[in-house]
Amino acid sequence: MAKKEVYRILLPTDGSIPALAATKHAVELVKKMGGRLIVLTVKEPNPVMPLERLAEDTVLMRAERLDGIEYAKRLADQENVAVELQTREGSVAGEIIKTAEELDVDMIVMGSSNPKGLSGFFLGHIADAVIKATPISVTVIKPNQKDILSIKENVRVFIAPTVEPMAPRVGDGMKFKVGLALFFAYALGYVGYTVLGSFNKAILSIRLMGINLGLIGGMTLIFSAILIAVLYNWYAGRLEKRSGVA
Amino acid sequence: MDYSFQPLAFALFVVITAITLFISVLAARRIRTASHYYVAGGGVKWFVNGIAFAGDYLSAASFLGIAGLIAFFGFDGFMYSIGFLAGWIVALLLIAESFRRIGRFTLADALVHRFKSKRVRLAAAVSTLTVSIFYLIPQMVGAGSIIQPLIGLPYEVGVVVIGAIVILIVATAGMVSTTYVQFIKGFLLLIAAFGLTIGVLIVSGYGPVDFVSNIISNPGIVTPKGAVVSGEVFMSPGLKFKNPLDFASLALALFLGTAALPHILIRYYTVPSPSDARKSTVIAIGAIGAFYILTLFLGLGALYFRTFDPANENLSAPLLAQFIGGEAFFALISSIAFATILGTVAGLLMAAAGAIAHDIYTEYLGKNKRGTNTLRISKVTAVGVGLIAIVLGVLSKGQNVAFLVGLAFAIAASANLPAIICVLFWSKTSERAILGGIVTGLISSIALILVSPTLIGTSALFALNNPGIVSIPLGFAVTIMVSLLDGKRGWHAR
Repeated sequence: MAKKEVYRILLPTDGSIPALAATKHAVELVKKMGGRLIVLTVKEPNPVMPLERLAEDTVLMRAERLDGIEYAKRLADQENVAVELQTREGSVAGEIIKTAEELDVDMIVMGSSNPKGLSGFFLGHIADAVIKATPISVTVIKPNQKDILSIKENVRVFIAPTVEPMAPRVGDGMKFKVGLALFFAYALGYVGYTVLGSFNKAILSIRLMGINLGLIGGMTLIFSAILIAVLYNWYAGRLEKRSGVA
Repeated sequence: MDYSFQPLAFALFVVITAITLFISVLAARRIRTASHYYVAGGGVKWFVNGIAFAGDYLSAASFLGIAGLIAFFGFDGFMYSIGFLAGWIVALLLIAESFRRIGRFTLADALVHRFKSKRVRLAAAVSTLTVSIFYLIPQMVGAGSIIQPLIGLPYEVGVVVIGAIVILIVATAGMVSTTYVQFIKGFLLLIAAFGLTIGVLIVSGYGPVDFVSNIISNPGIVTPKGAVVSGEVFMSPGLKFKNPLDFASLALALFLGTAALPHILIRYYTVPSPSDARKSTVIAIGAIGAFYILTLFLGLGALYFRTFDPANENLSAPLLAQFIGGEAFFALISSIAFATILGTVAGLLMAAAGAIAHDIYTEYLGKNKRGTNTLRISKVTAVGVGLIAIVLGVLSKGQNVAFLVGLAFAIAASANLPAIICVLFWSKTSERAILGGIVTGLISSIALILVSPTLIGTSALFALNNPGIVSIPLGFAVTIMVSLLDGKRGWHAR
């Protein structure tokens, strides 16, 4: 590979206190050496419950729900350091290594929350995993108690505003109407079946195809639920593709 | 039936359970620390979440309870399978995407987004807590039931021991990552049901339709309770639900309950977008639907091979496994049943803890928002709610777990669904109406359960075992009427 002109540091950040400490360190380093700071956040593909998110944030010292990218950008701007922002999705360690190799960085600077005991067992150590798997030098920042307090004081201004949930867009357009129509069709079948089961059992006892109408009706309700789900999803997906809404 | 300690089955049970838990943790960890780059687009989220929905939803009720009900009552038991799945249609077509759009943390978050009302938040939190506890009881009953034939311990000891272990796991580990427990459990449950069904068909020598047809044609089936009925009667409605309204009440509660269950609703907040919420619901419907079709064979299999305990309906599926595959298969099915209970309990405790820690502590009382205290309160809530469930679980000995879950569905449908539907779809809804609807639904459904034949036998003041057919319309009626009244007085929030 041709020798590149600028010195590059990759800074993976999740907004946690160790990551913020690493951000400060990385910005100072780039300022001293000259070159470019690449800031990366990796979105995890893990579906996480709100409460699990809270537990994870606490263990990993993300207690302030800070936007790590925003913090790094402001700090870099303040110090006149060239900065480039990256967002990826996937395995956190894997994406860090991949980005480092793709962008041919000289060093990775990252924080370590160093979760211990059970939490460490459950969450794993991203910094460890990165060090093991990459040939690139890694500087791991472990903030001490004093650093943590000073960071907590300093970041208050950067705390991301809580985003108000979007207003519901209910009843808009075809998708909702189709959904509603399918719902009423299914409900009609279900109610009809229930009424027969409650008040006209004889009909459900009629033998048909070796079994009886009750079982055939029940199976039909189960299969048609699956069918409706698949069809509705296909239809909604097509509408979304057409309108470009993810 | 007498049960003695089965060392081999118990050892296998422990090993399989440990492996399941270990894989769950590892899977969640791998996602973070895997060093190779694999393609993990948004698809992972909704697929994993969809199967995890099945894991959350297919509780002890579906696996142990329905199989038992079908073995004991034939068609009336199968009605649970139909209703439990039908409820997902409401979730998919009416709730999923809209709910994902407006909420962030709990059921209450979604309900207050229009009124910013602390009273509504409190009511929703109390309702979440109540439904969770009612849903936890059958899980504890299931726990006590499976431990009996495994270790030979009495039911009460089983509930306490297994209940305590489950709560401990959830309070320590569960707060970090339960999605993969649900995911793996969902898969295991499908495989188990499929394996058992294949086993039933092979051992009986029938094809699937012939097997059922053979039972219907049987002129004299001796039911587990000792009655003799023809196959035609057994596979027609009426064996369990003598009062036709009981059947209708249950059907209504199951249909409208699913989309109002707090532990199902909060799972919608784990995916990034409304369309992901929809896709994961579709995956859930596929997985859950397939499972419920198989329950018919599990229940009828237990009847056919007479592998049931007349004193405990919930053991029909595990005992069927023992008959078909011996001790090893029995241990496997028991550990899957345990994982099933563990997974559902985790989801329920999470919903309850969210209601106390987020809704009441942080939002209603306006306390600490930093997390550390909130987290501590979540864990204390999980343990506290779990203990209540253990006590009620011991008291509910001998009840069918699917029946008990049906009660939780009725409460959820009465208290939560009117509020959710009206907040989502009706602009005239007022704050007082939401509040009134939740309180009315909650109180009426619980009051009717307290005076039902289940609790006070023949002297019951209310003839039906499931309150749904009265309390659900009541919840809707109050919500709608108060809204209309407030509208006339010009009391709309905005």
